Amino acid sequence: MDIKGSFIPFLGAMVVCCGLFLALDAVLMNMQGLSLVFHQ
Amino acid sequence: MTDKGMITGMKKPCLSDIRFLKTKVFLALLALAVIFGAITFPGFDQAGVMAAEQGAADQEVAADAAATATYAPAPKLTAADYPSIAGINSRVVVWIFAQLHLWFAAFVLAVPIFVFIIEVIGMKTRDKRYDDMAYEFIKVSITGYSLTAILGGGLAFSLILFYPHLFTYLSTIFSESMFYYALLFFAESAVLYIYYYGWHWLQGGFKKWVHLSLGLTLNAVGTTLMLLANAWLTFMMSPAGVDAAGVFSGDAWAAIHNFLWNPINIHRFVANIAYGGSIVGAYAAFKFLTANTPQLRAHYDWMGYNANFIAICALLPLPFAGYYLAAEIYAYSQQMGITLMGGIFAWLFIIQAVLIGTLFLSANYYLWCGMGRSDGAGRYTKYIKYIAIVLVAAFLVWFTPHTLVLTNEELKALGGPHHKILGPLGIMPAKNTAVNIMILFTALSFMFYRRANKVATVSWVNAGNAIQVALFTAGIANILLLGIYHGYFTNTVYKVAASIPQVLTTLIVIVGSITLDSFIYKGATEVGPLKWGRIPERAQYALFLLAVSFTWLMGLMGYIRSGIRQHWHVVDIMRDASPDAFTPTLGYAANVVSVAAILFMAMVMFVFWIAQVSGQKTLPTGYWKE
Repeated sequence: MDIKGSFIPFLGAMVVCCGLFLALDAVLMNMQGLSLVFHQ
Repeated sequence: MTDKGMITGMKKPCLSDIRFLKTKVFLALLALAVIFGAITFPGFDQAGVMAAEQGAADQEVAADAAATATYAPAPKLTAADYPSIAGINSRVVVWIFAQLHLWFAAFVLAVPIFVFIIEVIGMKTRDKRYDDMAYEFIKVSITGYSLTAILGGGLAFSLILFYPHLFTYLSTIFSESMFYYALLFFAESAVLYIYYYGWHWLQGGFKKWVHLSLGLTLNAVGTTLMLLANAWLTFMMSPAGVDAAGVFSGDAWAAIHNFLWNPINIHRFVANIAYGGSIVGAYAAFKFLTANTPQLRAHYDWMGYNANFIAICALLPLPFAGYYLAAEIYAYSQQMGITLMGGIFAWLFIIQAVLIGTLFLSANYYLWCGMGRSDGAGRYTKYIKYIAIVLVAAFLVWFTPHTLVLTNEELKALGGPHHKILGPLGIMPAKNTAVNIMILFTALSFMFYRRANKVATVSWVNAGNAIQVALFTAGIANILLLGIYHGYFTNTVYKVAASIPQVLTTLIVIVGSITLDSFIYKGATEVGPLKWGRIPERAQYALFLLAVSFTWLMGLMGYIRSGIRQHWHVVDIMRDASPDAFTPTLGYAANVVSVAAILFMAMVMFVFWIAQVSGQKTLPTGYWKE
C-alpha cells in the first residue's frame, strides 16, 4: 500500500469530512427554525 | 450633407452633459424606486402608507362585499346532478383522458427544455451533432404536441359532459386564468411551429440567436401553461381564495397561489424533465435497434446516452422534490398526509418503490453497458458488481412494507402484523437512508463511466482518489448514522428532521466528488476515441424499461395525489355526490392506470413511427410525367 500517497490523504480526508458532516448534522438538527417547522 | 458633415455638425457630448444625463437617469431610477418602495414597503412613509392602507382596506372590504354578492357558494350536489351517458363510467373516462393528457403534456413541456440546453451546447461548442440531435428531439415532440391538444380537448369535453357543476364552479373561480391559458396555448403553438419549421432557416450568427430566443420563449410559455393548470388541480386539494362555503372572494391570485401549488410546480417540473428524457431515450433505442448502418447505430447510441443522462440528472433530485411535496401535504392536512402514506394508498407506495428501484437499476445498467464503448473501461468493470449489490440491497430496503397483508393464521405465526427483523425497515428513516445511498451509487456509476476513457496525468492522482474514497465513505457513514440514530433512537421530530442533513450530505458528496474529479482529470489523456454504437442491444431494452416504468409510476402516483381528496371534488368545500365517490380498490386503480399506460405506449409508438416515416422517401419510377 502506498502509505504516503494514498493512506495518509485518505485518513486526513476522512477526519476532515467526518468532522464537517458531524458539524453539519449538529447545526441542522439543532436549528430553531427547523424544529419549529417540524413541530408544526 | 455627407455623413461626415452630419457627424461633425452634431454637438459633441461633453463630460458635463454625460454627467447630467447620468444624474437624470439616476434621479429617474430613484423616483421609480421611491414609488415602488412606497407601494411595496409599508415602513417607508408610515403616515401616508397608513392612510393609504386604511383607504385600501375600505376598498377591499367594499370589493369583498361586492364579490360576495356576485359569487355563489360551492353547489351541494346529489347523484342526479351527474349526467349518465350511454352507461359510460364517467370517472374512468375523465381519469383516462386526464392521465393521457398529462403524460403527453409532461413530454412536450420537457422536451423543449433540454432541446434548448442542447442547442446552447451546440452553439457554444460549434459541434453540429448537438444541433442535429436537438432538432431530432423536437421533431419527435411535434406529433406529441398535437396529441396533447386532442387529449386536452377530450378531457375538457368529458368534464363538461360528466361533471358539469364542478366544471362550472372551477371555471367561475379560474375564469381569468382559463382565458389566458387559451391565449397562451395559441402563443405556444405559434412559437413551437416557428421554432421547429424555422430550425434550418434560422441558422448561423444573429439568426441562431433569434432561434435560441424562440426556444426560450417556447419554454417560458410552456412552463406558464403548466403552472396555470397546476393551480386548478392544487386548488381542488388545498383550496384558497374561498370561504368555508366555497364562496369565491374574487382574489384569483389567492386561488392560484394555494398551499400546494409550488410544491406541485417543483415536483412536476423536475419529473417532467426526467420523463421527457426517458421517452426520447426510448425513441433513440427504437431507432438504434432498427438502424441498418454503423453510422446510424453510432448516432442513435449517442442520442440514447444523452437522453439517459438527462433522465438521470433529473431523476437524482426527484425523490427530494417528492419528499418536499409529501411534507407539504402533511403540513396542509395531517389527515390527507396519513391517507397518503399511512392509509389505503400506503401499499401503492410499495409499488412506487419497486418502480423507482427499477428506474435506478435500469439507468445504472445502461451506464454499465455503455462503458463498453471505451477500451479503458476494464479498469472499472470489476467494481460494478459491488455497486449492483449495494443498489439491490437498498432497493430491497426501499420496498420492504411496514405492515403486511396477512391471513389470521399468518398473523398468529408471525406474532403480529410486523416482521420482527424486517419490520423496522418498513419505516421512513430506513427508506430515506436507502434512497440516498442509491442516489450516491448511481452518481458513482456515472463517475466510473466518465473516467472509463480517461487517463489522469496530474502527479497527485493517488491522493485525489484517496480523498474521493474518503468523501464517499464519510458521506455514507453520516447518512447511516442519521438514519439509524435519529430514525430509531430519538423522537419523531428528529426522525423527520434527519432527512434534511441526509439530503445535504448526498448533495455535498456528489458535488464535491465531481469537482474533485474535474481537477484530477484536468489535462487528462484519452485511452482512445469512444466507439459509439458498441453497446449490446439489451442495453436498449433498459431504455425502454426506463420509459415504461416512468409512465406507470406517474400514472399510479398521479392517482394517489388525486385520490387523497377521497369523496371531495374540492377538499372540504365541494363534496362529490356521484355514484363513483368512493376510493376504488388498489387492484382496480392499478388496472385503470395500466390500461391508460398501454394506450399511451401505443400512441407513443405511433409518434415514433410517424417520425420514422417522415424521413423516408419513395421514388415512384414512371408514376409522374417526365
